[in-house]
Amino acid sequence: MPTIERTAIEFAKRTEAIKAATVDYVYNLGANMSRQELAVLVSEIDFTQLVNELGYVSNVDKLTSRYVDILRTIDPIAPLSEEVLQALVATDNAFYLSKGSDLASTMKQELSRGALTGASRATMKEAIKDVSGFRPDQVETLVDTAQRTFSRSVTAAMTEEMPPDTTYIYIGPIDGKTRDVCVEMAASGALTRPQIESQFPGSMVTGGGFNCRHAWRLETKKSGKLSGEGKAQTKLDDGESKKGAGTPLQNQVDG
Amino acid sequence: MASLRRALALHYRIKLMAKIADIVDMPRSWWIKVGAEVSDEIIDHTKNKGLDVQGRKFKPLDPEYAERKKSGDIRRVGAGNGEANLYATGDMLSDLNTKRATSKSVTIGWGLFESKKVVGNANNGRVITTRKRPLAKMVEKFLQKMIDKQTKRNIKKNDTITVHKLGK
Repeated sequence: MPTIERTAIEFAKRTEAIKAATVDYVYNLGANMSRQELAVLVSEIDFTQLVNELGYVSNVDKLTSRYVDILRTIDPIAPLSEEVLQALVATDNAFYLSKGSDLASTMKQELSRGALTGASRATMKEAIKDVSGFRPDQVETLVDTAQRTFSRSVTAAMTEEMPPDTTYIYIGPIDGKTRDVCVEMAASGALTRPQIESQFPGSMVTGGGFNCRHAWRLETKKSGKLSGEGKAQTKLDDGESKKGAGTPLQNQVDG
Repeated sequence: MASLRRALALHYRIKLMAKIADIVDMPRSWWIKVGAEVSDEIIDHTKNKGLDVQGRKFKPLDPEYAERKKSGDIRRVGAGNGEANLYATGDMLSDLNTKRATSKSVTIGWGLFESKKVVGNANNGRVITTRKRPLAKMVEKFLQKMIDKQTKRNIKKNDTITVHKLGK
């Protein structure tokens, strides 16, 4: 069974193959056409349908089937209905499918430009590698983050049966790649779930955002040694974490 | 008279057994907490002490990988030490948590994805848990203490138990 990282890499690889296949399809279809004719052809094609037929939908299905594998490994502590779990899977499925539509629109735009400028098939394939939001590393980030968020959602649902005064600690590495918000959460020490929700809304499920390596865990006797609270506090005091202030979360390197 | 004694003996034995069950019975939330405590003990044992399940130091990392780990030249890993502690992104150890709890037991472990890394590390000679020895001795002692403490509490709660003398 693949790891999250491998699943993300596989998804990214298959997406790359679909992008190349789309270029091939269009260039094969318009093999003997002039630039203008090729541009018209591109404008007439429904790229969402094309991308889906070339395997994007099955790619997403393969990816979300991994979620079901995750579900199989989790025996929920709190009653988490099958409907809720399926809803979580369906939400992520819809997210990836909408990303497929974005991919289709961007590819249509790129191919239309390429047709008019007389770009070769090889140039086109090279150009679409940089299509915004779909570079393999970006897809990896999306998949990786979505799967971790999914896993946190299940854990968060499990903690709901704990007494309301139960405290949680933000655990994960505090290093040069830790974003400001994660440093802040780590430095905040033990918080109850309502306190977390009011001070850092949504973080129980999303952590610090894209690529986040952190999560809220039940406070234990060892939490102090594992949380990096002191390190985070020092970082805050030194103003070190403010270096990245103003940078949108998704552009920061890591959580 | 003999049959009455037998009936009474059976009656009190059943009652006493029920009380003993109460002593062992812990609230489910307590077991969830145990799972969290034991998981964190294992993480500390592995990450901070750099010890395997047998209490031995992990074998050192491959020098090239250790250098990359030090420099932060790995995706989602910041510059740190080049020690073998099974902690780079932290994903694997952070995933160790309570997976199932009842009023009589708790199961801790990893999800499917991260468990593959645990197996990979074990195949590489860095073992966190085995079937024969699920917990390191230090962690086992910690768990025993937690159970003892709660058992004593439960005995106090159930101190209405009376010893009945049957017959003469």
